[in-house]
Amino acid sequence: MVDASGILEILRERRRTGGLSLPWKIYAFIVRDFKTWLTYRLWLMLDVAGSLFNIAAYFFFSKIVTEQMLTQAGYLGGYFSFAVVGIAFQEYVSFSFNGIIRSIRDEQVRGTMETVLSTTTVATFLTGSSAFRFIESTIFLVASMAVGMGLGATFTGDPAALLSTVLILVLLVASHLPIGILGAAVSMKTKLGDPVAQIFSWLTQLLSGILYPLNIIPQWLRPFTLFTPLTYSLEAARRCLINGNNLLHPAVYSNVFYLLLYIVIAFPVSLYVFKRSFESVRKDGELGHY
Amino acid sequence: MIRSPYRKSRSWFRQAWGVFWANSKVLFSYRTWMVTELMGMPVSVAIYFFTGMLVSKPSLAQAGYGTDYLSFALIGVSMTNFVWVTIVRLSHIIQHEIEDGTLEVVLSSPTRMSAYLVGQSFRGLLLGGIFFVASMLVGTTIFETSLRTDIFSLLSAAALILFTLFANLGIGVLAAAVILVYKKGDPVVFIVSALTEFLSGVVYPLNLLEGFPVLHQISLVLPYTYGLDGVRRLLLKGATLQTSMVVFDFLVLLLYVILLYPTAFYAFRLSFDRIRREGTTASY
Repeated sequence: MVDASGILEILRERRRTGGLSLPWKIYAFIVRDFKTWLTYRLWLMLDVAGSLFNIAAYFFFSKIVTEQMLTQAGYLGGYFSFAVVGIAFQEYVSFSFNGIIRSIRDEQVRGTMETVLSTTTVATFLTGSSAFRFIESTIFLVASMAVGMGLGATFTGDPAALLSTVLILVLLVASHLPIGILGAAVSMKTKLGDPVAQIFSWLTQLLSGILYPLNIIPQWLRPFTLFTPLTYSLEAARRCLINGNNLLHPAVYSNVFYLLLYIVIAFPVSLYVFKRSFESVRKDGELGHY
Repeated sequence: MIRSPYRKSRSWFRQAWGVFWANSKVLFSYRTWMVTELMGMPVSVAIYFFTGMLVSKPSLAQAGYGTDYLSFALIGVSMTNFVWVTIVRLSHIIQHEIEDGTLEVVLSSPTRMSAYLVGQSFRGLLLGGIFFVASMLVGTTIFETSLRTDIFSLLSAAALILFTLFANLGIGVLAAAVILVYKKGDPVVFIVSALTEFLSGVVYPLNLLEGFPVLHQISLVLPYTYGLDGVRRLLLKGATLQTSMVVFDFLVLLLYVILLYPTAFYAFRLSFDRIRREGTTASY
């Protein structure tokens, strides 16, 4: 028997529903996603284990690699250190920019998009729903690097180099958010999965030098490597983590400059496209459709 | 429409074919997805092509698979995807039926469970097969791998790949049995596939594991290790189905079929009977 008076009591209860500051709202999103995460512990552990196996596989692969090309490209460490940075950062990017697209898509498929957007702003929703994934990705990145070090990868302990890497990580996320926002705009309008993320993922894997230095690829393909922000992030991060350089080194600050340029150009464009897509979907009354 | 008489087939083969045909129609309705996946194929192969340029040819040759890393990796990665797409299909479909609340309908229909499972597996086989053939075509035509493409080698490899798939399919049946009872994801398939990808020599030759006795022993227990080794011998070294090492790989796989199949089907039967007895076919 349902206790109707109890339900009415809850509905009548006076609660603060507005006036929460942005950090509290983001905190609420993080708590919500953390609770959901806890219910899928086994799967997440298996997922992490799978990714760490991937790193271990490249440990064995590194045994048959000749390091001549790496040296020519200016990397001092062995191939395994090179690959660990590539794999860890790639997973981080994937988590980061897929996060926004998945958040939009999940709400659409569950039919809760209208409810969510009627209780909070789009910016808060996007920031909040990406926040937990960002924390999760950071933990994963640290775990990957730790496994790599356990297997023999060598990274610098120089504080200036490590601080520079943290800054590069922030820029890496900031430079990939516009792509996530663009993907979310397309996904919201077309109600299709994430074609933008898919295409971007291919280009990134092929042209960013995740598993090989970019001096290997043919000349005609090299200009295209300049369009993926991961190229600059990986180059700068490897210079810091493997070679021990920091922000004052030309090879690092030139890449940081290009990352900043990318962010300055891509952010307004992606926000404009998202706004147009959002307004169009809202006008058509299709926010709740999928 | 409901009253109209139509022939309900009692033939097992027709039932399995019906399940396969219905699922294939659904599969081909996702045209955009399939085209996108196929368009990504050259990119995946190109990544292994460039990675292969770092490989020391003498080191790869020491493992006994020639000096072309792209051919080595292409067989490893494409065959692994093919085999696991098919195996995972069984556990995934059971999971979907449970989540959609349609498992009871499937079980109470005149279609026999074995015909249903085989039909679903063939749908996985079709999808995995399309991607496998596409990646091999991209490798041989665009990137000019040194794979043997004579009809005899190709037919021998096809036979061994299908037998490898058959030997590993018992794992899919076991996973489906676990899902029937526990209604949760398929950790069995995930763990075995992760171990397989890591320890069966998909992206690196297995002689590199010799310095790590525990990992090496685990790799020797995995049936997939033997299938992959045999196919590489056929397509990279020009071995035939009569070559002693390929015969050995076949025999090990046969041993797995003999051991794994009765166990897997027994477990599936137990799970199937249990959920019917407990009345939990519709719950999850």
